[in-house]
Amino acid sequence: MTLVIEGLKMTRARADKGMSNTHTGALRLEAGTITVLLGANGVGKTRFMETIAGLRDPDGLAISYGTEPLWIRKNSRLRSNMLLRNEKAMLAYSYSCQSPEEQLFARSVHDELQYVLRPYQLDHAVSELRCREVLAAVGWDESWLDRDPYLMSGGERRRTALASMFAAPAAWLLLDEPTAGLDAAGHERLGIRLKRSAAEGKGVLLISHESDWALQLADHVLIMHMNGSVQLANREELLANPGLLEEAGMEIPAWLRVAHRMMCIGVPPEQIWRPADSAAHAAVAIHRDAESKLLRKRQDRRIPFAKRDSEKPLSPLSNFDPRAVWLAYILFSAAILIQSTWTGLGAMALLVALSIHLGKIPLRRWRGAIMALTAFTISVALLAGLGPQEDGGYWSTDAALASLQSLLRPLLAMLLGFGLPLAVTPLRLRRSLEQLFAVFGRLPQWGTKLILTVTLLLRFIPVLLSEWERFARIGMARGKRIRRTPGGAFKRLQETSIPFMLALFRLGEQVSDALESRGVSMERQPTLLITERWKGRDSLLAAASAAILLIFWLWQ
Amino acid sequence: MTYINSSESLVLQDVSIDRILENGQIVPRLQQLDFALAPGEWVNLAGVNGSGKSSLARLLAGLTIEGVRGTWSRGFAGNRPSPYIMQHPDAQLFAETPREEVRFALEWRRLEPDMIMQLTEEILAFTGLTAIGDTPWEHLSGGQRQLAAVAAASAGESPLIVFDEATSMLDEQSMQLVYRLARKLNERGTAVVWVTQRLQEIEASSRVAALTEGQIVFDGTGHAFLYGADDETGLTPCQACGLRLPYLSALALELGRLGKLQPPYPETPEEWEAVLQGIVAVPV
Repeated sequence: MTLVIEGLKMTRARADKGMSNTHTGALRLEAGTITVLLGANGVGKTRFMETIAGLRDPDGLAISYGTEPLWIRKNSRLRSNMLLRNEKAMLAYSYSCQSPEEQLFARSVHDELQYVLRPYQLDHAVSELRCREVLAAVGWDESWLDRDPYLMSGGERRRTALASMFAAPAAWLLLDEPTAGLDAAGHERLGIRLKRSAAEGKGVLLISHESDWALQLADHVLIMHMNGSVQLANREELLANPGLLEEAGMEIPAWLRVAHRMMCIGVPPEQIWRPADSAAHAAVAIHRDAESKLLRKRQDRRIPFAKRDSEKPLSPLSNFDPRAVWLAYILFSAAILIQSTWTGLGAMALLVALSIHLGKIPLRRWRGAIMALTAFTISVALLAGLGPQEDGGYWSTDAALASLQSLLRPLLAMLLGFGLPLAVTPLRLRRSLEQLFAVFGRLPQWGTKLILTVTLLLRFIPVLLSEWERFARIGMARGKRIRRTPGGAFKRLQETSIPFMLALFRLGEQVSDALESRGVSMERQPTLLITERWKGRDSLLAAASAAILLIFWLWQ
Repeated sequence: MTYINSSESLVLQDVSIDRILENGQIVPRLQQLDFALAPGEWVNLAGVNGSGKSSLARLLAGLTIEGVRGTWSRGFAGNRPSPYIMQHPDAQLFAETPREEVRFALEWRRLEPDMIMQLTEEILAFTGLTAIGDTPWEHLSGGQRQLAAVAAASAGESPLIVFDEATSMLDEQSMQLVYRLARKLNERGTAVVWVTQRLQEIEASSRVAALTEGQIVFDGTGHAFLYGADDETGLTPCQACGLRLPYLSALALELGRLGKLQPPYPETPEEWEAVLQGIVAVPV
């Protein structure tokens, strides 16, 4: 089954070192081959793999497994042209994410394997057979079926996770850093198993920063460039021209430089990947290599600390003193909350929209919450309007509007409030609060503790949010639950929440270790650093908000 | 700065840690371990997952661990916990930008505010972060965030710093940024504990302590660790610990066995270049 990705930016191997040559085209990864995805840190390898697995919006790409497109367009009554995941394509791959052991949630190896097999609706006997067979692939016998992953060591949990990836009868295997933390035997076993899967006609796409291990298995390499384009080459091409990596902003690993030199002195390319074979050949190599170019270490092509492509403009709000921003927010919110007419509310909505635009407040991040609250507001208003009326009807527009108005006020204030975390990062907030209280003398110990705790909680909310989203995505890749049913929703919650809670504990431990090692013991008081100075523009911001409140108050 | 001018080593004697599983089973993390670290020394800790290298690293950093038995003296490292850098930078960053992060770290050292501002700039310059001092995390790569974590954790001078697989999620270039910073701190006199599974990071002349099942099974030079084969089994200490030999080490070992290479084996691409030239020059 060929994996086809259309609409991808591709870089052609270029003969001359001219302008970069990218075009939009289709990438075809053939069944029975192993492709290694290479790219610098932060170039988007994991994101690309998640897109291929249908866990992220296709973003203009058309992905298909064989003849099955990953996304199908459906016209529903609510929305035309809705994109839906195609179950057949989702079943065509098996996905192993980074640190896959974190995703385990069942209380026995058997349950974990059956969970992955369930969407394939295999015969009972067949699926039991598969369970045993994959255990053998990771070097275990049947006695491991009843073992509880929670009581295992990290390495054993990793094996369970890899077994569950191999269990599914899928045509494609997608693996993201499967070897991190594996021992030598684990590397060996995984390599053999992947080779066998490819020989059986499966396709493999692999991300691994252990390039010497991965390239020894590979047929092709897919190199991701900093501009998001990809370049497909076979591994011998990479061996002949390791500079391809530098062009993509990567460093050439030392081993690849040496391997390249060995090719130049006449060691047959197919022997180079295994050090034992290449040593034997290098030792008898009699080719003189007068012509081979010495691969000198070129200047680092990656500009240190180059800013990322995805960089968003900073919000101008961050230039203000946190206290000014808070004060302005409180005044502005008060102005919103005292509105009792539709005209007033309309004017406020305009002002809020203007502030969001000027303050460059990215509401996208909170799209889910905003949509849920809007839906809630509307349904409460509708409910308020329903009911037996004096005139005998069952609907009262006035009641619905009154309720809508009272709920719109906090909604507007909240929309504005989403800008606060941007302008006032948790540590700045902490410092400005401490400064504020320090005016009345030294802040008591409990105050310091409280402020620190609250600010750290605020700091980690985005981290937790993205962890939750990550587990939800991977849950979908493993459980293949794409239809929205109430039962499915409950199952999905379970698949996501158990790994999430465990991740939460781990994060907590790491945070406390980091704090302890920094000497942030709760016993002592930190130095009060004055970094915020109240400037003219801060007064201006506060005054403007006060003026808005005053004007609307008088107008009411 | 609590820079302790003590020449005494950090010593662990007969230290054990037990892990108690949910079902009551007791699994040792560390078993009757003896270990010493001299001031300013660089030691690599190697071993597979679950070998106890992380527990040892945490113990050396002076972090709280439950159920430790044995005696230890932190010697030159002092009584404060030492900076401890973990695999994932995000859990160890509390501010939003490198500059804020370093300031936050310094605030807990009870320095004068003026001193903090000045030291922050010095640290940013030393770690090469000045240019991105005010760039928020989401615009920085994993390697840059990890550098910021090192800068904040070491915040000025510290007698000891512990890196617990700090580079395992980083690419080649980012890994070298972090590694070079660690070397720079070491040259300034800071002792470094470098926990790693990436054996290509180990230099032939530096010290390696390898763990298996909570015990130190090897303590010697990187060269002996990678290439010093045991007479009976023919395995190198690295292989005996269950670690995968990186490509170049495997190649060197094999060439050595074939009699084409004499120790000390090459490390840099340039040294390899010389070796390959030499091999070719001798027709067989």
